[in-house]
Amino acid sequence: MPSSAHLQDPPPLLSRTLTQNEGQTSLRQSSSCGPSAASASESLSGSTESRIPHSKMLQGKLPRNIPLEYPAGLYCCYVVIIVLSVAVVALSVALSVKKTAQISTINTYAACPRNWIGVGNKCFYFNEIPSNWTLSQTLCKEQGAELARFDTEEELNFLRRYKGSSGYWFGLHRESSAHPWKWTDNTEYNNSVSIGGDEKHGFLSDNGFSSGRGYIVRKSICRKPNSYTSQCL
Amino acid sequence: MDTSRVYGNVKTFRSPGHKQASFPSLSTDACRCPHWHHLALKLGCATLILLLLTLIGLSVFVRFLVQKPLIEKCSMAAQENGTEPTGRSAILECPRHWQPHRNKCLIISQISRPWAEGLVACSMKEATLLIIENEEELKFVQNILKGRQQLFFIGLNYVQTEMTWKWINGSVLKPNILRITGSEVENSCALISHTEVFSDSCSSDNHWICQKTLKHV
Repeated sequence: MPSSAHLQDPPPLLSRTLTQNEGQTSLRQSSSCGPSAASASESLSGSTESRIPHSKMLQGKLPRNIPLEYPAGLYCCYVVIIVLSVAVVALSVALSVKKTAQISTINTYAACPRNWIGVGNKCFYFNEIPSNWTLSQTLCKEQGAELARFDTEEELNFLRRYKGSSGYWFGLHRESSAHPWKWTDNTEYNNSVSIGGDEKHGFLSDNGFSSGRGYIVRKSICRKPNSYTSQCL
Repeated sequence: MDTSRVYGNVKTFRSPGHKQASFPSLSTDACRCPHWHHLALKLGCATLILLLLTLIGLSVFVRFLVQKPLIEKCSMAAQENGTEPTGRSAILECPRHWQPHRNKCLIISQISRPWAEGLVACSMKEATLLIIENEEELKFVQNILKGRQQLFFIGLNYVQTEMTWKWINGSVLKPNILRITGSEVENSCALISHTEVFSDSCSSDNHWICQKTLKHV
């Protein structure tokens, strides 16, 4: 039995001695300057390593995230603002045009005098002061024109649409209701559009072409070639 | 020796504390830039709203100008009361779009047609072409026509067989009321402007003036 007791005793003794050895080694390390410096440098390097990646992460995130979100939103806002601004400007222009009620000329060559309207290679003038047919023709001639005639469908459609609801003298006339209609240059009318009424002087009404007595005072329409054509000639 | 060990441990804990302190400063830097962006965004949104409202206002205004004043055709429903034999009805006011003058209501046509068609159009409104009864009425009518560079048929035509101008109610034109400029030939009808009365062909296209007499019971 005592022999067994002896056998049991050695393990605790061995463990005690081991622990004592460990304590001695730690003391030695702490006492030496080299190991302490090494530990200090390690701690510094550790802190720098931990700091650097953190700062890198933050720096990386800011440029990555902010431009993706904010500038995109701003750009969208800018685009929308520009579009709306353009729309507002366009509407303002439309308003000013409507208010002044200026009718833009249909000049193809922009070679008609002021207040005349260009259609194809002709210029048309709407005389808003009423006068009889003969005086209307005289007033047209004073401007190097004749009472209006139409040579094309385009001119005819223009005259029909532009005159509004008033009656306008134009270039057709005849000697009597039994004679054929003629233009002011005495060329015969081709009757492409029938003329109402039984009189001798043609005018445009909102019902098409009509005829009346020449002494009646009405507005009138003049026509002449545009200067571009005359220049070419 | 043991106490020195403990101090070392405390130092190791402090270093992460320093690291944590650095985080808030970085986050505050990040907040400053977004703040400016937020301000810009707010201004942008305000501008957007302002532009949108302006756009809406202008659109409404332009549409308002574009819409031409509707020319409502003057349609008169037959007044059943008027047709009743009791005759209780009394028209004391002019219908819509008609111009009152003493005991008459006048209206100007929107279209041009020969005289006979004008006569029919008036009758469909339970009216007749205008009959001018005195000089005062002539002045009133011509005053209405100021600013209109148009001509209007009235209820006066030339009767070839009698060699005289007659109103459509059968009465003869009195020379002192109005003077007619132009030919006195067959198929002549009177046209009025704001200054003169002309004789023109009845088959010519012109506007016309209708009159409706107010009835008092």
